[in-house]
Amino acid sequence: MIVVRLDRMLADRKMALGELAEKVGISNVNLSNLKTGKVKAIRFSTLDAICKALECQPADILEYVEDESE
Amino acid sequence: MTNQIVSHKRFKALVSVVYVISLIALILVGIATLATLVASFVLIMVPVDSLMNILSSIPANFTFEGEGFSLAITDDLLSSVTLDKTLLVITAFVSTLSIVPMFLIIYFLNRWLNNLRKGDILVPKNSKYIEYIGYSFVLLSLMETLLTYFSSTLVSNALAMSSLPVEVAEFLNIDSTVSFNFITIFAGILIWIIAKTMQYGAFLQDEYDATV
Repeated sequence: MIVVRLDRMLADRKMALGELAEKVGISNVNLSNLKTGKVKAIRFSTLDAICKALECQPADILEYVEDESE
Repeated sequence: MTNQIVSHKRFKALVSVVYVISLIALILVGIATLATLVASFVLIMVPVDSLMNILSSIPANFTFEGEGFSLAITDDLLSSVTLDKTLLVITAFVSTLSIVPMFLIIYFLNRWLNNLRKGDILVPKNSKYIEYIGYSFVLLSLMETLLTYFSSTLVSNALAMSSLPVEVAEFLNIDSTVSFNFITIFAGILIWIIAKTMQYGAFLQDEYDATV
């Protein structure tokens, strides 16, 4: 299972969700869905924009966790 | 971009108009279903003699022209017609049941159009509604067949027991064999296929919506 650690990066960079959404060019709702893990997929262009805005690597935001149900 | 907005507005306007038309049709068919259902129950309670009296009281003053003959419809002829009450009641109930698929088609069409008005185009619910419309078309064909069989049996039985000459009665003998309307069945299957295609479209839409 892929877990999105966006909240951790936002806290490190002291950035609000709305500010990041504006920089990335997606809606607050979509970014919130991404943060809470409700999305099914992320485009490379969106990942590229997030990493650029937060000045981080994709591995800082995405983490693989063993799914207990599997 | 302007063309997309105009055609989008045009689409919404057209959908709204058809939605209102379907709503009116739904109300009318609903009333018709209720009326035939009430009439069917009334037929059970009314004695067959009263029905014959009603038939006899119809002013008969016309002529039926056929191939090589003309038949004068008289009061004596109408009074000689005998109705099988059981068959009449069954035919009345079957005619009520035959309106039900039409009601279902208009109802699901109305629900689908309502979703389109709200902007929900490729959603699983819409594909389900279209699937049910397909099933209703098949059901409509079956009910039509049943209704044709019972009504033709009723009429041919009534004519056989009347004072009509044998040759004329045989000429007017309505075929009571069972025959299906395969065009309606085919239409139902086609609509079902379209529904399954839309179901896949709804799945793709969901995947797209869930992608950031």
